[in-house]
Amino acid sequence: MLEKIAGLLGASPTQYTHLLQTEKIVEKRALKGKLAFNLSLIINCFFCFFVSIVVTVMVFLRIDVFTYTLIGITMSMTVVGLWTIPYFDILLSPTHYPVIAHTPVSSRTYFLVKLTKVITHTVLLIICSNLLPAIGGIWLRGEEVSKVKYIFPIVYLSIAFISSFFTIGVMTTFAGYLTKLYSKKSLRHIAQTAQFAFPVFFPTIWIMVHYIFPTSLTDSVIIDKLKIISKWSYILPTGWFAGTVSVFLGHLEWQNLILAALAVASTIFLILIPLRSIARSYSEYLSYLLEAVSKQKSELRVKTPLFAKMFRTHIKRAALYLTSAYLFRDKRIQVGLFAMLGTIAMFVIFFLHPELYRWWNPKWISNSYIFGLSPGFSIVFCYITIGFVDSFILPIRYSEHWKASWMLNIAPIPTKQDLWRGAQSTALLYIVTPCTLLMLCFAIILWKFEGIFYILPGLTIVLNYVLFYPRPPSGLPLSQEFILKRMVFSTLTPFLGTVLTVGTIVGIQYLTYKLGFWIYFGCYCFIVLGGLISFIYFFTRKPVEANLNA
Amino acid sequence: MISVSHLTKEYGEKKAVDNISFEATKGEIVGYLGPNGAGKSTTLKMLVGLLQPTSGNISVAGYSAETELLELKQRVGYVPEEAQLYEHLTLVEHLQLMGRLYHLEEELIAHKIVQLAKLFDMEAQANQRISSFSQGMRQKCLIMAALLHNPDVLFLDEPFTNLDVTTVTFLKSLLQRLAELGKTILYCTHILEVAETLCPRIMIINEGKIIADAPVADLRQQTNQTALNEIFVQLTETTGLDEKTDEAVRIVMEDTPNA
Repeated sequence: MLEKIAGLLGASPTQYTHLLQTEKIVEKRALKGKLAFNLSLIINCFFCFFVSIVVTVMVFLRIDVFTYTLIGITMSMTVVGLWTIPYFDILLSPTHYPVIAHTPVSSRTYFLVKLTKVITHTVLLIICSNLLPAIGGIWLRGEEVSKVKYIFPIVYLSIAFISSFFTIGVMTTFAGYLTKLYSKKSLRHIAQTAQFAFPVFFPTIWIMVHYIFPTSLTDSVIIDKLKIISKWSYILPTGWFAGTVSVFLGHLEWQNLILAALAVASTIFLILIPLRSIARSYSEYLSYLLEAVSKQKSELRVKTPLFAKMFRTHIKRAALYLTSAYLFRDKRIQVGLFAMLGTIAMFVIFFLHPELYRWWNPKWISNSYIFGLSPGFSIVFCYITIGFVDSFILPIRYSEHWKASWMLNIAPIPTKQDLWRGAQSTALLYIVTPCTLLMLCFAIILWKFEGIFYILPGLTIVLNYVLFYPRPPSGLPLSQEFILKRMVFSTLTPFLGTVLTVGTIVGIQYLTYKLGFWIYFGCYCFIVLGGLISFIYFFTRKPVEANLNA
Repeated sequence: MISVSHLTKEYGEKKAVDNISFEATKGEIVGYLGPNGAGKSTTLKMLVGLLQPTSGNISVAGYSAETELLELKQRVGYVPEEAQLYEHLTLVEHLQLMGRLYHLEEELIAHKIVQLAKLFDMEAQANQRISSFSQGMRQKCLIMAALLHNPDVLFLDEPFTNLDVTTVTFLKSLLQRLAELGKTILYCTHILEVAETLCPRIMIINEGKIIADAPVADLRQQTNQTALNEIFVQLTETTGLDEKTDEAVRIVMEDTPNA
């Protein structure tokens, strides 16, 4: 069936089928063990399912079809937008393009192969995000669904699918058109980081839903507010698709008809004009990406870099500069850091907006029981810093340039641990230090000079997180083959482990606080001093390996 | 300088390198030839410590690969067959990395980088990222890195691939001068003309075994052939080339619609 669709869209069905099969085989073989992939997929689906439960709960609010669908589709488009970003890289990465660039494969065919791959990666997430809200819709109590309520799941699911593909289409268009707007030099960076702009567009609606999210499910004032706020969504695609669902369910009001018309027109427009145009020039676009994109400097300069004197061993220094160059230049690291900056921006928005502040009630962050005990603050500190560290350290393990690690293997390095220590030093210098200083500023604003006591528990956790983050099996940075799905899985284990550790430490602190000041004080000293001593001891400890054997 | 005895590398049932032994003295340039998959690169990888031999002994610059691997590595320069490099680094940063890995002082690294970049006509590209380099520039990058720490022994695996004629001529002359100064060079190649002019001694490996190890003149005498490519074909027992060519032409023409 896919070949027929490809043929209808102007691609060569035979080439399309074979290329798609090849892509699947390459990916399957690259993954080697399937366990990692399956686990990451299950966790992603679980997250989407959780989001869908939140949406389905709205059924109990006695809201109308439009508002319910609007919330569901907004969530779905946001989740699809955000969670497909890693997979979306399939479209933007010209990795395998040189293999087929000289063959008579049309630009459109290759584009469709890549787009199909993105869609197949996201289809399960779309189902998980929408299945429960679709079924839940049967129990909506609005008048307009009473007669046709059993059709609701089919209509909702169909429109949710179209809206999700619309999201992917808009993201593709967005990145594609950047190629025409910007010079080749800056193209790659801009195209890859700008993908965040579109999904972030939907969280603005999501924030609005948060803003009016009910404190009590029976509060009729809140339902009215929901209805008023939902009107704002008429200007967004989420509203257009929600209106389409209402129309299919027989709610033929003029607003819904206009919204449905907008949804149909925008989808047709998206397919016929921008996507078609990008498909036509996709090869050209990939060729651009393959070209040199860095800012070219022509003069010969050899600088002794910052921090050079700090590291007495040449090996640590070498690893520090290698990994710090990647920190500032590798697109995967940049995209990860960019996403984390987005999270911080969200926090700032929550803090600055007086209404949101009131509804969101972020006092849990600044709530303090006793000096050094603010569970919210510790959690936020650890979450942000560990998020940044993960964004850096994972691509330092799994790199597209992993084959270059031969040079680390032939070098006379007494212990591989020094190389990994260099990578850890980059994380400490360029990520943990600025994050700690930033959070220290917040702590000082909140608790004056006592603020330092609130920083220390989180800091010890973060330092030990960096220290005990699993080393690659080879012990070398940038040495493991880059496989996207394996990366997604690898980030979860240390992260979940740390979430548990943070929870446990904060819990212990709270329990000891309940038992009495001196017990709390002793425990605090034990956690902080123990954590710091452990970090210093293990970080500076001479390695066990006596000799490097290739 | 290089001493290899009974070196074997097995991949399951297959013997990539089968019980080879040879020696190369100080100041010698040895050409290491063989057909594709003969075991040339595998030998080199074992000599530089990238691969662990299944059995046998390796000694380079007086250091055993088994017990003194670090000392051995410090004295070895290696140009691999494939130019796999850290693409996000610039040429300067790449050479700095290699210098640090070989324990050179920062000042010495900086000085050598400037000089080498000038000599290899890479001044203009010195601060550009490797991702923007042509294959030839990458190859120069590998050669510069191999020479940076003044190694006693050079292992070169197809070092002239993608290089222009001027650079090849310069490098041939450079390698000869380095050999005169006492560096030992094991030169692995498919280009027989270069091997013939550069290497006084030739070793030929086929199916993991060394089948010839002698100066070019001796090989000519042994095989009654004058050109090295003919010697090579005879020693590697490559027969039926004409029949093979005829068959290939037939297949190619058969698949062409206009034929």
